[in-house]
Amino acid sequence: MKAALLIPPSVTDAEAALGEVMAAAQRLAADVELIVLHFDRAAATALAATAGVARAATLANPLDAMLASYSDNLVAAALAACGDADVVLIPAGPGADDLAPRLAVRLGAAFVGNCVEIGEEGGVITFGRSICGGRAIETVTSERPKTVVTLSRKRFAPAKGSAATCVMRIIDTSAVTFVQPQLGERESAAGNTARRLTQSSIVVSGGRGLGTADGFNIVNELAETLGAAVGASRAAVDAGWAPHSIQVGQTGKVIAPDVYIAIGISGAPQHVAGIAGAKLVIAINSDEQAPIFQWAHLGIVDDYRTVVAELINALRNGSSVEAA
Amino acid sequence: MRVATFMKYVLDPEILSRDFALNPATGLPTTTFPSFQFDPYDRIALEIALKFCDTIAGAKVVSVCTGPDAAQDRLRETLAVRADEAVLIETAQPLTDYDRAAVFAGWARTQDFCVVLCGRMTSDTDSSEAGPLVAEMLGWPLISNVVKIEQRDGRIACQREVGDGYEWIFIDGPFVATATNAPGNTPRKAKLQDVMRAQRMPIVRVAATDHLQKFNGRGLKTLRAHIPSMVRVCHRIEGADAAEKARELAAHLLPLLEQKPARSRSLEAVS
Repeated sequence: MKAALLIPPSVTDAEAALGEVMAAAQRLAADVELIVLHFDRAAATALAATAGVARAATLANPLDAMLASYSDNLVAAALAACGDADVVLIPAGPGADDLAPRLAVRLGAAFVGNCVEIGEEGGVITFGRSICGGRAIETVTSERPKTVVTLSRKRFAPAKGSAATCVMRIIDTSAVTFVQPQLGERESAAGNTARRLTQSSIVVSGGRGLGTADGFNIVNELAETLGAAVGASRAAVDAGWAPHSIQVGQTGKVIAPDVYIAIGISGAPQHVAGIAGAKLVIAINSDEQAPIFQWAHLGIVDDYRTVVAELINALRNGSSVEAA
Repeated sequence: MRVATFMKYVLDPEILSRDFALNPATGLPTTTFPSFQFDPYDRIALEIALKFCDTIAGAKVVSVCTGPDAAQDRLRETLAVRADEAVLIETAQPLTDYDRAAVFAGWARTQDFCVVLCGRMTSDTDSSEAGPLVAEMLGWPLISNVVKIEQRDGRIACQREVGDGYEWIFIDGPFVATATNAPGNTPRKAKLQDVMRAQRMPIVRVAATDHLQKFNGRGLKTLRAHIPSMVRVCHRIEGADAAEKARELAAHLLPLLEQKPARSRSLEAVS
């Protein structure tokens, strides 16, 4: 079985994403080839080396940011690159969401979106995919010779291959017609906040239970004290208290930090679906019936203002005691 | 100019966990108290379409749903927020996103839409494939994660979310856009007189079988579905007051933070 590990240009943590995709490929016992559409030969070789991949491919003329911003170009390039693969594995995310279903149609392949587990039953490969905001897992098999799979992030522990060198394939796209999109102005919404959110080992999030937008002041202060990233529930974002770029949940960022602190967050299923991979979940909420306590490892039922203020003091004092 | 919003009739994503179950025969989600609504992201798509058409004389928003008869109540909600027309492509069974897209695209190609908008994902299938599939089936370009659409100098400009910011992309001709949330596109509430008016407006009904595209289907066989056991035993931190609880929580956190290089930087910064 040949597996193409396709890393779309929108992926900002290519090394980590490739590690997760490698882990999935190893479950398939597949002969793997890394495909990057936007890297030159040297960058693709370097990326392949980080995961011990023996074969890699890139375009003769890698897609620049302008071309890659138009998803039709990604589909055309991916089709040229992945045509002979039996399975195409793509880390889920905004770029993959645009690309994978269309690539599946063009390849005549089955499409498995949001895959969270890969198994095997009686010699048949099975894919577990999250449905209904992570409330349930649907187990499916492919009925086609080819399958395109998007892999939910942080659900596969990164793995490496054993190859010491990489054979590079250069894909000729001279017959592919790319569209030069007409782009206007770009604007930054929140600096690098969203990127920090997905990569930070500690995340502090606020929800509707904060009461007002000002509640995020103390959330930010706690995050600063912990060296953590700040997140928000969809309810807080919908209320206009926080930007969408830091929304955590099925409809926002899916994260898997070592420590996740939910302050004033009820624990709606779509929010919990976004933190399923968190190792330690701590909930602070005045409502002892809040569903978040069914998901948390540690919980405090009390007014968040007092608890968080005291927590900040305790952390600072604890830090200074240790330093002394 | 006619703009279509592809509204997906889904199990209420906010339904309580205790009311959520799976049909053991089909593996499909079910509920003790059936509650279906349009996907939240489709409602955002509708809002973007309404704002776009508000600025263009003669432009019309058509809300379209592939779903059962009961979905017409939800379609009236779209008329109540000033969609111009509503179309129900009637189906008897719950549909996968692939089938929703195939039915919708089969019907849409008989129309004269310049833009098709839908949410960037579907909450019951946890899938982001509906919009891209419609684009593929219609052979139209796709602009994803759109938060705003405007007409500028005779062209259509889409503001889309990219990474940590936004970019504008200009496009001619018909296209499909998937919508995401952003400040300023929160779905509007209906006024009472518009709710009353919507009750009297017609809903166009179309048979899905007339427009099912001859695609191959999603190519997947469902073996089963299960509800994962994710409920944890939460250790409630008790104490005489908030300060005592906070100190115990800090005692849990401090050993963990010792392994985090970021901690020392941040603690130095605030001390």
